Amino acid sequence: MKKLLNGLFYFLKFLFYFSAFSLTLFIVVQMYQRLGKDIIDSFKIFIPYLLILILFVINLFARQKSVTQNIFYNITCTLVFVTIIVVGLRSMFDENMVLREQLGRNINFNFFDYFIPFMKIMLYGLSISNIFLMFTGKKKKKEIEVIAEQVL
Amino acid sequence: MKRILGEYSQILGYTFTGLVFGLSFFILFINFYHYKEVSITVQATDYTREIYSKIQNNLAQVKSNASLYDVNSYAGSENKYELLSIQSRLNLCMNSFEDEKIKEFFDKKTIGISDVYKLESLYQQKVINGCIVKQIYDLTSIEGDAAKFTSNSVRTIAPFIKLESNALIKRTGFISSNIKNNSSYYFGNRDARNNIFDLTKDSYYEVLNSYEEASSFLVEISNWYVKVIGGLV
Repeated sequence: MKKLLNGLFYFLKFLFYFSAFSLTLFIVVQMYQRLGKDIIDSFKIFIPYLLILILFVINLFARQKSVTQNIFYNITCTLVFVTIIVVGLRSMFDENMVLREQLGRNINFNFFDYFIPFMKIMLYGLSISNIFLMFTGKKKKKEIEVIAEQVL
Repeated sequence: MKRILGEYSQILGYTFTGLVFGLSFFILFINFYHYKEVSITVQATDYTREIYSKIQNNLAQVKSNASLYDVNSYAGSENKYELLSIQSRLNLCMNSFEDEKIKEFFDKKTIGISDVYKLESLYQQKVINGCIVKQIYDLTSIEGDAAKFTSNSVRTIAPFIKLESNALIKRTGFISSNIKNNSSYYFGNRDARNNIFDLTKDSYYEVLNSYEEASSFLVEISNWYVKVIGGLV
């Protein structure tokens, strides 16, 4: 059961990562176009996305089970990306936030802009925890037996 | 040593994951709460229909007053082309007041905060800008050194037009600026929720009352117009 759930969240993690990234890219490009700013300046918003993608790729190819099979980490990743998607969709479709209409392009840029620092904190947080979990070596069977004997 | 470092690394890894979990969980659910908060609706009462019928009566009166003037048969002392201009201004005002989009708001059973904002924007655009400022207040405007309308009767009514127009222009402006605050990300509480509810309910009737007041103002102007063409002013 745990393995099944872990597999599910591992898959969802990647699925929601790309959805959250696409949504953020769409809103930020629209936001910068509206303000007449150079889109290249928005690169710093995507640094945490890039960082976490690199770490995911390292986890995948280095077969780091301490991260890839960590259900708590996978659930947290899924939750973070779902939060980004929910906020992005709200800024696009929540008609009751009236600035959505006033700011043009039917996106509440004000609302999304408030969220960007939180998004960065969460993504950098996931990257940091990924790095720490990477160096957690899985205990060998013998070591566990020794510890168990000591306890008993 | 390696094992100890590994364990510390695991502790820190889980700590950061836990903190991120907490933050994202909080932001996700505060968003659901905020979504519910701004989508509060209030029930429209029969008072809406009452205001609507008052406005319709006022508009019918303005229409009948404006139609009394005939430029070909006018034999009074005022400039007949100025009177013709005032007649066409009153008719243009009627078009602004009878806007179909505004009428839709009188039939609503429930009102949300976005409805109030849309109604206020339409009211400002059609009634205040389209009629009160461009057509009525403009009667008192000055081009160069001379007044646009030189009739004595216009000069008599000018202070009243200025005073009433200024009051109407300023009356509902605060509503849209207050409503815009709901678009910011904030941490909701019961006070904010009540505030949005009150803002929705009170602002809606504030705009409707102002709309009715504007139509009454137009009736006053049309009554004055009838007196002018009848030679009473």
